[in-house]
Amino acid sequence: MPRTFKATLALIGVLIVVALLAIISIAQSYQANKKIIEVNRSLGDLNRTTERILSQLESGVAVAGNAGGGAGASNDRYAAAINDPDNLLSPATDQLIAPDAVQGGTLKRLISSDPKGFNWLTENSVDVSEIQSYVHSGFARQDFNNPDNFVSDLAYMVEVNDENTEYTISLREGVYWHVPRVDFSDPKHEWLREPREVTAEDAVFYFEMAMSPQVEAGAVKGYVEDIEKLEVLDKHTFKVTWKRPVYHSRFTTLLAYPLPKWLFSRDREGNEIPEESVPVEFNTHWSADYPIGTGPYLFDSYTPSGQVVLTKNRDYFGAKPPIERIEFHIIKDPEQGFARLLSDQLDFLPSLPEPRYRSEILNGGPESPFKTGEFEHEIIDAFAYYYVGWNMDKPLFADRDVRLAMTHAFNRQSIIENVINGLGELQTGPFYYEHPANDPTIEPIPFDLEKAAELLDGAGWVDTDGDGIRQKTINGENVDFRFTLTSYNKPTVRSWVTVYREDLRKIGIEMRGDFVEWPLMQRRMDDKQFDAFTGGWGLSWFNDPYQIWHSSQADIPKGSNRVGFRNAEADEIIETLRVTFDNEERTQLLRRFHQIVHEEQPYSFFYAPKQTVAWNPRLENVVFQKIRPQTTSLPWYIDESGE
Amino acid sequence: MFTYILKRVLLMIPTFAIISLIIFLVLNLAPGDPAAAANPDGTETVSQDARESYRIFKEQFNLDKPILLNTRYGLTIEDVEEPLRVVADFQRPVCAEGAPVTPECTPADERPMSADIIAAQEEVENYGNYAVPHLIALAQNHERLDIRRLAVQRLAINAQRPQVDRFNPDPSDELRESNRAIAAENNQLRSWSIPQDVTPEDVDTILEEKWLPWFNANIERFEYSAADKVGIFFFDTRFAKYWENLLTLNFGVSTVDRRPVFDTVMQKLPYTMTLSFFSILIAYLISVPLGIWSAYNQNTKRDQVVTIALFVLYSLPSFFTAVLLIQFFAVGRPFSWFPAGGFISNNSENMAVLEQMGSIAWHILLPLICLTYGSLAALSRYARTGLLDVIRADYIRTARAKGLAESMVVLKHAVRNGMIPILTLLGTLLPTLVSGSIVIEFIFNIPGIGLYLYESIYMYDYNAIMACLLMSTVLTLIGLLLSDISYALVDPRITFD
Repeated sequence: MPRTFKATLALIGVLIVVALLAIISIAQSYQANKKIIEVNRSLGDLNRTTERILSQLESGVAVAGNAGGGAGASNDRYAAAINDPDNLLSPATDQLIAPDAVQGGTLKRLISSDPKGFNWLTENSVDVSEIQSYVHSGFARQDFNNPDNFVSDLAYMVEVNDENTEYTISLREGVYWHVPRVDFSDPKHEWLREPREVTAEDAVFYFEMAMSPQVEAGAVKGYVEDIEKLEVLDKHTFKVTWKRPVYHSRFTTLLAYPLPKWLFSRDREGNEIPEESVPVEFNTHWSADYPIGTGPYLFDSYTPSGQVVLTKNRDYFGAKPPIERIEFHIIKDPEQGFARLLSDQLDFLPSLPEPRYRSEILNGGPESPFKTGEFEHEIIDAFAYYYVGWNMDKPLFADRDVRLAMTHAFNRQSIIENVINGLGELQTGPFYYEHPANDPTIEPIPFDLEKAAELLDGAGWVDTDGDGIRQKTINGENVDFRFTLTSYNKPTVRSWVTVYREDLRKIGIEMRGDFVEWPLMQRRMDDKQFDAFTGGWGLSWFNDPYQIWHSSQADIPKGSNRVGFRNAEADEIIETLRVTFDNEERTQLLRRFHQIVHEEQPYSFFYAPKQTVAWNPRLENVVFQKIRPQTTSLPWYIDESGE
Repeated sequence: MFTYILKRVLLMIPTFAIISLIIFLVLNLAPGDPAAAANPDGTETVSQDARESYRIFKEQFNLDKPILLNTRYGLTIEDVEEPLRVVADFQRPVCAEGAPVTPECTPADERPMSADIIAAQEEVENYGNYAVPHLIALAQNHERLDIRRLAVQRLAINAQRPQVDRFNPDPSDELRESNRAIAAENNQLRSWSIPQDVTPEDVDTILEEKWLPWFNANIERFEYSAADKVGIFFFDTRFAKYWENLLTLNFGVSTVDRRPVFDTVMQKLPYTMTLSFFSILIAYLISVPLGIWSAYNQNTKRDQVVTIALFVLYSLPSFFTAVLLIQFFAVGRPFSWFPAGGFISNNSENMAVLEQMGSIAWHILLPLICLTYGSLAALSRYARTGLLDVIRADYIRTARAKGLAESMVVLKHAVRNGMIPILTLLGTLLPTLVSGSIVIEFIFNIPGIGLYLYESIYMYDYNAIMACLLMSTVLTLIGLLLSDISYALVDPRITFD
């Protein structure tokens, strides 16, 4: 069949156009469908709200403010409980929410990774914990101004016996779980519609799950294993009994939170799961996609690699935050985060990339958006510290003088100033530098190569063969002082390791930097395949050095005492600390512990990192807290007019 | 032709198997383990004794199994005793200096290193069920009490069975029931452990009352026939388990978020496919005419300028251009015409379809530029040589001699024949449709396959990496086949018969 060239072209063209039109029409009808479902859903929501308002009107209660909370009588009870001397909870001194705050608006902030699911107990990455702090509430929370104090959250009253082993906790009444944001157009979800009250059952369920060996709650397992029994006393009261008095029972009990037992013991259709299977299925329970809590914000939606959206909870029992909606944009490249801030796609950046801090703030000319007032910034503590750990099980670093020499040869202050642009505080021990436990009288070990050389000479490390490297005879063998520093592969680490290596070479030590990724690094540490490594610990306000420093932790698989620190006095202090509840006494013990660690130098403590937060000035009342989550947005508000 | 295609398709199967074996081996032999969490800033939180969780994790993802071949059915009692002895030696107090060496203490110089203990514990743990008969025997008969005690403690862990098909989102009733039974049995076995300070009688009691009756009742689990042994040898391994899933098109579950990898890949595919499709389309739309034009103006100044310009573009790394483009056109230095990244605007759910398409186009223009310009040079060179090959052919001269218009000569006669090689190249581009670009997706924060692969590699998420790579493999194989077939279709001179 003869066909002209032009006709063929025309045919192809027509086909393409038809295909495109088909795709568009399919997409359009799909979208229309989705919208109809959504409209249906919001109609359903509306109906339920109306019903509730009507029923409340009928029962003669005015529809005002505190809809979810209890009536006046229980409020009085809560107020009285706060003044009860037996109550472990103290009145809050932190007034988070400003009275003149502008209501409404959307806060767009950043998280740097995709959440791995929203099961509050098994998932404890920083990002998910941050989201949890908005969506859920604990029994108590730490006072932001005075983190040693616990203030009321879901519980209004906590009593403990004199031995510090029995905690009796009374929960507020009339607090309801959020309704999970499932697709209600599907009738199988009907059973989830009705809001349910938080009960002591839910509270106990948290501990049961945390203690169950089948639940992958690695982060809290060790803390809850000393619990002896759990009792539900009545609908809103429960009791946690510990086998013996341990200090961490205090925050483990009080900072815990309820988990919805009615949800986790049922499958998607609402059928009961057999009791033996509940802990196993807990890890992968379907509801982790629709997390619920009792907090000031409702979990709205999560688009993978897109964003996590929270909306304000109108039935929240506490003071309601001004901002209506929070979007956590998931952005993996820090540079992209900064670009989005500049192009107004983000309001708040929790951590400005270090090179940007240097170019825009430190060296930024008058044109810099941080100088012109286009953006604001502040430097806050990241609540962590970095260190170099010495494997004390290796003959090389078994000698305390050698480790001390290594710290003397480590030009820490200069590295902080020149490599990380001053975004760090020199660390002398394992505690947060502003925590009372950090002994302020301890002077940082100065950078002093001569002193280091002297210490090495004294320890028997002398360069006898003149090749520039020190030697020592260990077990009849002549060993050179060469070792490998297993380092975390990051540009900053690479730069400072080079500086350190040069300084060590000057005193006759050859160090090789081996830069590896995190999974490999973990493996090497688990196998104890290292001479020394670069590490970092996140800090907590409650100090329990057991995990990292007790000698028993040096030889268990995956233990955290990787350097093999074994010190009898330290062990004794750590054990005493575990049963000491008095803050004064604790501070004394912790300071003594700090001194021991300082003398022994199992780590060369390096620095506590600081981060630069940056935000658009349309955010008002941007205050930061002393403890995590430091950048909680509850007090903030958005003032569009105030630009 | 048909036999040819059939042969090729059949050949693809062993090729695919071998490729998957190679990828699997490289992944599994690489040092390091799948990590449960990323650690971007290099700080850890103190996590409390996650030992049991770690064991379950290993078990779920078959990481406790040998990689290729399993000989654990032939474990001897010595294999199991050895690691127990290491742990027991470590747990004994060290002999006081000068005091005589007694069985109650370990001489100081024989005390195992902590790395050895960790390895020993891991070893017994990985033996799983296979060690159970030997642990029973050790608990009954060993001359050292501490080893008997350890054997009982190990039994309480090793005798447990893993849950079957645990991540199945929609388990059948039988599966539910069998898992419930396993969970119930595990709970029981776990409780039959004993504390550190026990007498020989305690060990005897728990053995008599609990372990021996249980062991005898379930003895068939631990007796392996010759057929069982062959089965275990080949099939109770990481690789076999992986393939078992693969045969049912199941790519397994991500070690990171415990979701089926296949779902995640499907969800990310549209982003990558949109980008790659338009990138290939635009690359062809620009480079084919450009190549023809170059060939037509062969060796003139204009041709040289275009060639040099294309090669300059070719040598600019795309991550560099990407950052520059964002700087110039997205963040207001000097322009903010385009968004700095992402695939679609946030409020897209409220947009009409055309608006959505507009929003996507606006978002992906910059990434598209970065993805496309690099391939222009190669493609236009192909087009240019393709045309040069035919432009001096006799039939072109004939066409001109017939008095056809020059445009007709070039477009109809020369181009149609000269473009054969460039058409067949299309087949080989198929895999790029799904593999995406790691760098561009990272810089522009586009949630596609490239970014997913990048993250998975950092987390050692074996199943996810395998899924991404195997998809590319399949498409490469298909693409090669298609391009071979298209040769025959386009050019009648080529046949496969």
